[in-house]
Amino acid sequence: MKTPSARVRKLVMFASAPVAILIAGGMVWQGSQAAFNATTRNAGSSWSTGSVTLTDDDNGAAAFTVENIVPGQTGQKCIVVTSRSNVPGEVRAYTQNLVTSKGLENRIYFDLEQGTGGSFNDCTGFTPTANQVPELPLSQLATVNRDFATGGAPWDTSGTPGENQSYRGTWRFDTTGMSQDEVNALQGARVSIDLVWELQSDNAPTTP
Amino acid sequence: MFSADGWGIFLASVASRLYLGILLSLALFAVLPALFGWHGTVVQSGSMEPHISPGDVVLASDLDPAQPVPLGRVVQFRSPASAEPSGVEKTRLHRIVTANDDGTYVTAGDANADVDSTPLTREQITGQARLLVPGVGLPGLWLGSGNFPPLALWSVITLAAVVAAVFGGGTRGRDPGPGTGGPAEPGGDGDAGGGQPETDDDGPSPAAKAGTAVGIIAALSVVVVLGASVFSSAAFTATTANAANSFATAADWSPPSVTLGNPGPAVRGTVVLTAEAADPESGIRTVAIQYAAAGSSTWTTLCTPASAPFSCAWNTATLPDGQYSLRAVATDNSGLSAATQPISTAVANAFSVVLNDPGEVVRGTTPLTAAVNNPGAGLYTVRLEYSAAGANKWSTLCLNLLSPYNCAWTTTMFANGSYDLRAVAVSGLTTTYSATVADVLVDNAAPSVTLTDPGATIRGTATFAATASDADSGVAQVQWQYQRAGTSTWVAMCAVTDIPFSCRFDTTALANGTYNFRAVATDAAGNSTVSAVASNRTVDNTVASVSMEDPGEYLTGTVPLTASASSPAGITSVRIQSAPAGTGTWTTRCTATARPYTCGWNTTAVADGLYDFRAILLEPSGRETTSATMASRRVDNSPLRGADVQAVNGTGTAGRFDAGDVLTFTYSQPVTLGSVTAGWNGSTLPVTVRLRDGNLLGLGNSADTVDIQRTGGTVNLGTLNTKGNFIKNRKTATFNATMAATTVTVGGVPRTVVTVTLGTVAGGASSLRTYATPAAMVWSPTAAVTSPAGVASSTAPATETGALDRDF
Repeated sequence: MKTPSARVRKLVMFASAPVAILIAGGMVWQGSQAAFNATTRNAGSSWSTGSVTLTDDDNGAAAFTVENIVPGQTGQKCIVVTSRSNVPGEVRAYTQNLVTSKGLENRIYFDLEQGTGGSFNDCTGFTPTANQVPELPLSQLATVNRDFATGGAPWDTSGTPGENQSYRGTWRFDTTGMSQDEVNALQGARVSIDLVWELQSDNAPTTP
Repeated sequence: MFSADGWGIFLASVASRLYLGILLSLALFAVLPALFGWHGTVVQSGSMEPHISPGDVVLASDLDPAQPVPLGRVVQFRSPASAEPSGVEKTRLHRIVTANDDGTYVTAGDANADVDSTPLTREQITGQARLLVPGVGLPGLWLGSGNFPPLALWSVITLAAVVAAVFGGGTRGRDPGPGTGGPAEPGGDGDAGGGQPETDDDGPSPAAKAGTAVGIIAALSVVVVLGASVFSSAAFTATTANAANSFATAADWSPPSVTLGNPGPAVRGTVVLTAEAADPESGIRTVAIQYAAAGSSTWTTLCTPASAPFSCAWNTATLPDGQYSLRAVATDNSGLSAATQPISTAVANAFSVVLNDPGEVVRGTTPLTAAVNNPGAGLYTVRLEYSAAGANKWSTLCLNLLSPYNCAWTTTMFANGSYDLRAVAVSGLTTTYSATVADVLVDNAAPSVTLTDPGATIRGTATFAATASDADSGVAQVQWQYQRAGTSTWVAMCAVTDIPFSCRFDTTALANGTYNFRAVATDAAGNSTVSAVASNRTVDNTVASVSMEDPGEYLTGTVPLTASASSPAGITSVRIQSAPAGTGTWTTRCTATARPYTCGWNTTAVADGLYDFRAILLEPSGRETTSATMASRRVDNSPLRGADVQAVNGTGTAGRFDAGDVLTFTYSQPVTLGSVTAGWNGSTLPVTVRLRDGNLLGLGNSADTVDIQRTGGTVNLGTLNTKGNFIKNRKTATFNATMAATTVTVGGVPRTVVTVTLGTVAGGASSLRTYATPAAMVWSPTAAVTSPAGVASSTAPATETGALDRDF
């Protein structure tokens, strides 16, 4: 047959609409089932449109492990956070998992600066460029900067893998205004807190 | 094959129809649910992969208020601007993974390694995802994000499909074509697939086909545009954490507390010394009990017990008799230590006789007692002797005393003055002398006192002044008293212990009437004198009265000016005025309408010099009363002035002039050191510090004064009123000392600081006293000291700054 016959034409044309609808319905059904009937997620998969790994140079060690501090003492550490994302986004810093003790968490003041230079082992060469999180006691930081939405020290990443930002944290044990008895009540206390940097990407176009 | 009627075109047309059909059906599925309240969004990012991809349309139903939040399901929620990296509020599509204790929920993208850090509240949820329409939002996504290449490619393919579907379906004129051009509605099935019965009509005309094509294209365009406007996002997240930063305080930064039991004023033989110590944080490691001979700074440790009771036995028989200091030093297990204040005791193992000190000043008949220590088997008689102070020519006071060796000294039989006393114990041929009690002042003479006439009529707050002096022990107090005429009782009004002996008393506290006034002066020995009486004075407060309080002799910077005012008819205002002294050109400095009638006057706004002050009271009736003029107070804002003076104890006794004490004089600016003393460049210079009793200068008992002297020259530092009683009445002591100067910068301002360090006492050592009361010393510089520019120093006194502390 060189050309489709009229019957074939009629049949196919007739059927094309319902078939199309069926196919579309099937796609919707299958997609919905897969997406919305599952109740667990597969964590850890990566996208083809860009990996967004965020790393820092602390080798798993805590920046601050300070023992035997006395009133008036202060200290500093630096950390470099690197983004391997190839989509632009924003990194914000916040705190988690505050462990309190005897009210010491109200007396350790913490200030986070952003800048360039320095490293986890040595703050030499750190040049501050911004200090957008005011110095606050750890107890207040834990409520004020506790997740991405309330995070501070924003860093807009451009989407160049390997771009980094240095941060410098300064702590102070300040007992100004406390009576000697109140100061002495802080002896033998231990507090701890996690510092978290989170990168979220702007809504970027997907590549087909 | 490729003819217009061939299989090629036919299959292309079929494929196109299928493609368009699927596309339009998907679009229909995406839009129709809006009719029953579902809302759809186009997914923008891939954090919900692998099941939801960018370009998919997700349809969500509203969350029923009665329905619990669906754990494990995908929900649509509003993410506030603060939580978005772009700073714009967005609709997010993520799965709820857990519920928090506080009623919020944790969400996560399926493809994210970490859960979302921002918790989700129920109020944010706009819907639960129900239906996924794959891919139909892709063109819209491309359009909305400006990704034109794929949009253009898809558009071309789809247009070609439209053409193929509409125009390639049937033979020209032979087969029934597609239905009539459908309406241009989104999702409308433009390809009217309904079968057409074989009819004899010609099929749709080219115009109808064109209309259909246009309809389909319009429907698709609407889909694309719609798809470009309703996005849900699901941002990629990644985190890195620096965990478990810990800050631990030292377990113990508080030194221990420690006390030492006092063994008494005298000890002999073996005594047990006991200390108590405690450290709540880390406990006591050791306590060291130590002694030192009086005047020595070398401590010898008797024992170092490590646990309670912290006591030692002290065998005093191994030590020479004399005064000793004792202390305990406790160290806790953190290494912090604290020491007690030294306790003084006398070791008296040998036989000794002691005359108990009757006190610095005595009058009338004073009991004297002596004690004999360790008499053993001997029988002693004691006689008490006296000598003019320092003369060492002894006469007997009392004779043949037997235990308990008491004697009454009738000091009235002796001339006023300083005496040395001692006790002498005799047993057989052995005579033993006690230590001399030196410089006991006999004062049986009452002070003299003259009251200043307060005036015939007294009203409001009035000044009651008197002059008083005492040749011997010094005036201790002048007390003003009043007596209501017709009564016999004298009532105390006010008392003053320092020169000038004047006090301000508010006579509105007295009923109007006639009064007598007198002043009673008492000296340090207790002798008192009553002044002449100012009698029959009228206290009349029926009339308004106003007076100025003394703002001080020197006025610097902003000074408070205060007036006292009273008026039975009421007070509208009190104006306080100043005028250059003697000119009568008055300027109002402030007007006060209520008590206290005071204002601050910034004296730097006027020239240095003498100023008079007065206050004017205005009554509601309009009547004015003017106060007496407070005349000639000096405004002195000269830039070079005394700024501060301080005294610090060295290693000797606190509160007593001894070697190691340091005096610091601070000027407000650098000074030419050669003007302090000739030829000086600030390097250490030997000088003499002279301490004189305040009564020698007419200043009173607690106004002992220091000045610095130099052999063969003058030191122009001025005088320092220690405001304390560091030397006995009317005595003078001198110390060898050194003086040095440095420039210190405070707050960016350089100043000259002159430091004088006391060395050994050169004379008058026995006249020194220990004075423990904190005081603020006052330094009066001289105008002989100049700045490098030649400006002379102000003579305005500088008062010791800082919290009141014990000096020397």
